Amino acid sequence: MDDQLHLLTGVYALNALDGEERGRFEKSLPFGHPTAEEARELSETAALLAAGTTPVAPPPALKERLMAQIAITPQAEVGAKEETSPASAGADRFAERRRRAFPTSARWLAAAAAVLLVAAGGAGLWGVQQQRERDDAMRTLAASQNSRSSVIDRILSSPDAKVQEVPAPGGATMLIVHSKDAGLAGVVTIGMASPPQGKSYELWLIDSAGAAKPAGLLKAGDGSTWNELSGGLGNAAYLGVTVEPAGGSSQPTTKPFVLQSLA
Amino acid sequence: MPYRDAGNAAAPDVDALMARVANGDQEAFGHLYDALAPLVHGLVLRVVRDPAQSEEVTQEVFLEVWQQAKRFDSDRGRARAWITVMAHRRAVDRVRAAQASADRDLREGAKDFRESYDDVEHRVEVALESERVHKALESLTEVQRQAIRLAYYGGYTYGEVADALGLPLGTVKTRIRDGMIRLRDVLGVSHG
Repeated sequence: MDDQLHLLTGVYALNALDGEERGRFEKSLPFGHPTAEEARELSETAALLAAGTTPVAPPPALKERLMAQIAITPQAEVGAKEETSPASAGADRFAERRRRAFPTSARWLAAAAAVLLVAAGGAGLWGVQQQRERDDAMRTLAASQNSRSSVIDRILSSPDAKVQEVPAPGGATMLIVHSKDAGLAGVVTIGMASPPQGKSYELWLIDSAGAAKPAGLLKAGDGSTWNELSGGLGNAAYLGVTVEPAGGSSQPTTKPFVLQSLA
Repeated sequence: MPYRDAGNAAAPDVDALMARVANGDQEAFGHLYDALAPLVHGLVLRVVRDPAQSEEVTQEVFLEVWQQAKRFDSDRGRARAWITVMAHRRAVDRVRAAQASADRDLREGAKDFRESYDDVEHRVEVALESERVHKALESLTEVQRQAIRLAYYGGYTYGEVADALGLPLGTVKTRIRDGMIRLRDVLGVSHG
């Protein structure tokens, strides 16, 4: 499917992929990938096609129902957010918009969140529906990560930075963030259960010959965690996660439950 | 309160209204609804067709707007596009869900659809932007235009579009993409 991926931007923008294909398409696109940009632009173009329909006012009762509904429906909260200066309707609206989407100190989150949004499926590139749990987790994480965000910033400011979304057991999600240029990598867990009593999750960097190097323990638990990989990225080809005796091992003793190519 | 023509008032203050809605302003939500409901409902009706179901979808969309407004606040400037995309996605999902239980006759559907589309095209009362969109659509090749109309306004998957037009899947995929790129350029949607 990869060779053909860019051909799907049009049908994606028109919501003309079936649910499964849509999910695959969204998951296959790394953040900032030109195909993702094209999909975003074509989605905005598709939005303009709505103006090609005849406006029809819904019956008045619909508004009455809605007004009654919103009066008792709480709005989803947004986490720590900086006041934004009045938006200059300037040249680079897209980049500006992305920068404004999150506080500067947590800009890395914007990148990670963008991946989530793209993967969200809900409202596609605007990522409105679903994902509330994840979003809450990301916000919690943003609030707690300021001291560590410099590492993430260094990763994401590298031209070769990549954010990969990987499913983890129990419906959890891991975001693997890495840059070979910066030689740094980190893992965000979202909604991942704590390891069993007396066990730890351990991260491994695995080279192309299959040799595993310990890269620190992975914290997990309610909400989200950020884990920088100790010892840098080196020439790792894969990132793995195993369950080990508490405190970790020097070599994996179980089969990795996550094994992700860093290519 | 001064009467405002929804068609003209929609564009300028939607983003400002959205910012107020994000602050929990219910009155602003009412105005936002007034400004965008005809656009949203028109689109939903076009795709879903069934009036009762369309009303449900429109209601869901606006409830979602209310619930998610704070999230949108930091991304201002495109409230209309945001809401439109949401509406289209929901409308399409509704159609597909309905389709799963009672299979639509696609060829018939495509034919009806084209007829209803032509009706609409001949309506005199076309908003300025609508005209711009129609002109942009006219700049496409016949196949591009048909495929995009069926997919967007008809809510069909590209596989169904291929069936309806009697074209190979790959052709439909690329024609749609070429057509959308053309529309993007004609309508000036680009972030460079």
